[in-house]
Amino acid sequence: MQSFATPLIALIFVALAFDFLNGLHDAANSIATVVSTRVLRPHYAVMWASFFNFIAFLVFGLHVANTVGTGIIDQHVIDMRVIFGALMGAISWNLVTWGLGIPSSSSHALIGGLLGAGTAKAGVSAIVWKGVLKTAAFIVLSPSFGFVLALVLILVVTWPVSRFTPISVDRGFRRLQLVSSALYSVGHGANDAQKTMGIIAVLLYSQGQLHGDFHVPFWVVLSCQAAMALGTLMGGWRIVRTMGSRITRLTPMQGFCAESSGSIALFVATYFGIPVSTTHTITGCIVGVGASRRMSAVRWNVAGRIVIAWVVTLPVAAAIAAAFYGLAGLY
Amino acid sequence: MLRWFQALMPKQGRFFELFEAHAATLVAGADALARLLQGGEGMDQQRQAIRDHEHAADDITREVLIDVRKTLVTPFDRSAITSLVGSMDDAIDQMNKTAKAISLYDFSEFAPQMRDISGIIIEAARITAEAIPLLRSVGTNAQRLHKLTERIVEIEGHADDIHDAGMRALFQSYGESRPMMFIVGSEIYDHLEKVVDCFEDVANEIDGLVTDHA
Repeated sequence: MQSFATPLIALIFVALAFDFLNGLHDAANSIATVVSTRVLRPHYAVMWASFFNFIAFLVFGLHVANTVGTGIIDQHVIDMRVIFGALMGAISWNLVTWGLGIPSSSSHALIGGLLGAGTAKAGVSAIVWKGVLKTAAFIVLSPSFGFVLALVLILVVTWPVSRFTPISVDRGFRRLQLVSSALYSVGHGANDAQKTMGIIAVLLYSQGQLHGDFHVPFWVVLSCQAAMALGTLMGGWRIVRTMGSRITRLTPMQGFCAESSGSIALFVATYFGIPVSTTHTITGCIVGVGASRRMSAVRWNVAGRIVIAWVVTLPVAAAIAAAFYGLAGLY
Repeated sequence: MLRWFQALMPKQGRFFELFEAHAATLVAGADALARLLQGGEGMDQQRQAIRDHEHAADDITREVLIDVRKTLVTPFDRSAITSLVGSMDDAIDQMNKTAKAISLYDFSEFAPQMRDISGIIIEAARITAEAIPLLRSVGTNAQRLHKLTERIVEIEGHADDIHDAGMRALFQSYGESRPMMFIVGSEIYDHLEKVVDCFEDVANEIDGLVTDHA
């Protein structure tokens, strides 16, 4: 490992902290259903989830990291000031939305932050439209995909098990939820941790610390996965407010279907290198299984607030990031 | 919006058939109760008929309660199914209790207001029997079901008025001269009124189903 300048180390630290907070904040999504159906006790559930968070890099490539590093803002435009602006924009917007209880996505905030700080430096020409449009489309597509997938999965799963009694189906899916929650944690770890990897890698690239072309060094991969896994581990110690029961009540079978469809949606997005909001994706799935029973089983106001967050997050995070970029120039 | 999805789901349980069978016992029970209130020779026979319908209804209810636990895919939420059949069962139980009170106290001097309430009970039972089959497709029948349940609530209001008028008349004719007659008569009124109340509960259950699932 090379020796880095102090501001660079500080920025890497902030990026990892962002990753850690992501894990902390999202821990509930991964473990909610296994805990609420009492398959695992909370501390085992968080260990389970953070383990699978961590090993995600073994399963997937680094396409998402590449998109975040080079596919949103031209990598040659990026410098420490841009990354500083982007991270501050994303973090401040996250703090505001947590305070206001808006279920916004930290992933969307990060993309918005990058866009804001990047254009503040080099204008609109710095934007890599292909990557941005793909990412923007998936803000809506990934939860919708999750919604439809969850419905299909409910159908596919219901037919073969429909000759058993509800109680034995419950018992079976309690076990299977261990698998589905592990898969979901892998998807979560893969997509979310790679966003931070992209940020750190492009930062190193801009400082001439990467030898050769843009790539993600292995120590960055490991530290990002570890930061997120640690965040998940810590997140479990807080009181878990389950995403699941806030939107609709779930049976083990429905929990299994929600988590499985969520992981499939995340796997697809990760495979194609698209940074998506893991929280919004699993929410789409949970709404899907809720709606499979009856439309009124879904608390639509929660789902509606997410739609508001879709629209607001990108521009606001971008504006804050641009402001921080400007502010950093004063010193 | 998700009708395609519901159409593809497996269909299980005989809930609708059982609901309809139960509704049929309500109509038969209400008819027998009205005939009982005509008095005369056939009273024993009508009392027996009501008891038989009540037993048949109990068997159907039991079957629904077992099915609901054995079936994975139910047309409505489990709790909605049990409370609907429960409220229907309360109605026939209450008819049976009315008949039992009549026989316990050898009551046979039925006032016109009592017969009027039994007429309302018949109407409520028929409306229920008309509404239940419509539950097979709640979405398309929502409007119609709403109208029917509204009608039950409306006639329950009439029954209350008739009950009050009947009680007043009962008090005026027997309050001084034959207090026991007044006490027994008011007991019968009370039972009849409760039957109509039970149908109102059924209407509310149906209404809840419509709101949740339409």
